[in-house]
Amino acid sequence: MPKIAVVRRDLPPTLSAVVRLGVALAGIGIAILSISVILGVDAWTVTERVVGTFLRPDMIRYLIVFLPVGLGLAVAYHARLWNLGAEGQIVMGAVAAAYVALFTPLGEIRVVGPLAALLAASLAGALWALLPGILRAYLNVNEAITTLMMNYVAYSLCNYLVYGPWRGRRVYGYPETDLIPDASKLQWVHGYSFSPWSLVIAIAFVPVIYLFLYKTRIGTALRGYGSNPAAVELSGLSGTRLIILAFFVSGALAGLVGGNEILMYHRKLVPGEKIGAGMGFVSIMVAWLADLNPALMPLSAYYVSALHYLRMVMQVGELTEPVARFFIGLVFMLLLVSIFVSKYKVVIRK
Amino acid sequence: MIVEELFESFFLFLLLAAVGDIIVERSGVLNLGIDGFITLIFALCYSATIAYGPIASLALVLVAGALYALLIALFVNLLHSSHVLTGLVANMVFYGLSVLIGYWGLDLATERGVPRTLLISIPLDWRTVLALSILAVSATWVFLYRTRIGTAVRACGYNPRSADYLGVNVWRTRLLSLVLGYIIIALGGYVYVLFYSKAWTPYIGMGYGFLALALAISSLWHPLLIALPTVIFSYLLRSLYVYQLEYGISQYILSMIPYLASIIFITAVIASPLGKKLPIPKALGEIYYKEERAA
Repeated sequence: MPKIAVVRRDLPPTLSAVVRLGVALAGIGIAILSISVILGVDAWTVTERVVGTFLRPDMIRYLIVFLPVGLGLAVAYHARLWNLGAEGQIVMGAVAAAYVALFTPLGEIRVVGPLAALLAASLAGALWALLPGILRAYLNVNEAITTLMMNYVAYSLCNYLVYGPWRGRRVYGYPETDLIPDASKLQWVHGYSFSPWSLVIAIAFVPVIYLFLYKTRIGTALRGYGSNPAAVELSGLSGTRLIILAFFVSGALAGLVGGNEILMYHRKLVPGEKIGAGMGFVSIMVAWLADLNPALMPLSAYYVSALHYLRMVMQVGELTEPVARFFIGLVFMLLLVSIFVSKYKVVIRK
Repeated sequence: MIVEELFESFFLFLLLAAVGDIIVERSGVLNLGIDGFITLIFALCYSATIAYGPIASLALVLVAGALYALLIALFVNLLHSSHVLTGLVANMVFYGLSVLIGYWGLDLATERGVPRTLLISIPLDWRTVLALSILAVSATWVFLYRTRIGTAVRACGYNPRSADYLGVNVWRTRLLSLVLGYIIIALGGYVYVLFYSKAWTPYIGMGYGFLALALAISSLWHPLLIALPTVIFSYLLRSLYVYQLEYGISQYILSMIPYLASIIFITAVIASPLGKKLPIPKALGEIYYKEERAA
């Protein structure tokens, strides 16, 4: 019987990039195929729409979500800390931003209002991530499961507010707050639903996180912590503090995005499931699609945003959303295969 | 009577899911994919029962469990993928697929003019539930602690490299415990649909998988300890709406209780002296790379 063995290899960067590109193209194929087969839309129409979504600036609204969250998560994942709670951290950021904009006098002031709301949002996201972080750092409680649980708690907390004490007076019974004051809104680019400022902030984080991870002592230690915690501790840095820092940074960026969702897109607090909309989970794969490299994150966020936006464009009945989940999941499955191809090879010995 | 309240179909579902998860995680596979599977199996079981009846549905559900285990094994064993990412991605795919399958069943019910609620008249009294749960727990304990294969499973979860040196085939053992575990989880899903919910709505079951996972952790992956937290949790989950009616607490506050409680429970157990004494699967989530000889 032939023996199958898997051995390690390093694919040259160019070939590795080609593999990733192949996955990206195959992913588009999967999207087209699943929409046209399952939803019964003819393939040519779908293809046209797909090409359209990649070229239309509307998808920038999603890029503004995926890019910063992906960057933040990359910081945690470099240290092999499984922060799977971006979804909840986004929701808590949204809650904090809505609070500042609706219930404090700051909300009525131009420029200061949105800035204060965004600051509060990132603080809320960071604190929400901090609880699992502290449990992991001091008691060694598995952070993957606690961060997942915190997502559901955040959903419920937000729903409690919009169905209960925060429900607006002018919303005709819908579970949402009143609109935030005009001074707090981030103005849209004419004809689209995103703000240029949010885009600038999102892109500005690319060099910031890159420099932090690769050019500072703490960033380097964080990257090393994943593969060898003992070595990092011997170099004189506290592992406990590194863990807390990684959770703080990734939570802060997710919270910031949540706040931005309120000021820029929803303009009011809506139920938690609508704010997160699964984007916190998709962001996890955005980070890995870019190989946790901040410099490649814009590309990966652009690609995933376009796929994510596709379902908004298709809008054929109630099955559109599950079909989108399905094909985005399949694309990421291919990504896992491609990671294998670029890191290992299969040898058959007789 | 209190025993009837405690030992009913929902408890049996949660116990089977948690016990199945224990078998999987004892082999060192971090089992985040359980949530997508439970969502899928609810939809599949509902639609298959409408289409082919309860017996064929049981067979189909068990086969689906084995196939899902093979898929996860393909990624974590052969493709050396991260266990966390494999689980998350599988969840995404199967959350989506579950809705498609569930709507197929709903449409079929309308087409044939049968009611959308399943009409199953087999009673499941507390004695049966208690007997079945004792059987599940003790069989799992015997399998994990009193058989050769069970010892190999635990060894793979504790230290796969040492297990390999002792002649255990890590891939094969992990595959075996995945298949066994997922068949038990699938059985739990069958119990839930046929005896508890008897109906399906989109994304029903989302989050239960993670709760089962939390239960497994809070019992330190020990099948004899799992019964207590599961009894408490299933009772808590089902009686939430009573508190809402009686004391007027918002249902949104109540719905965070199980998740907060499980975080507190896990932390308390891990921080307690018991958590330091019982051997837990230390290599949980570790990708096992066989050809590596150094270090």
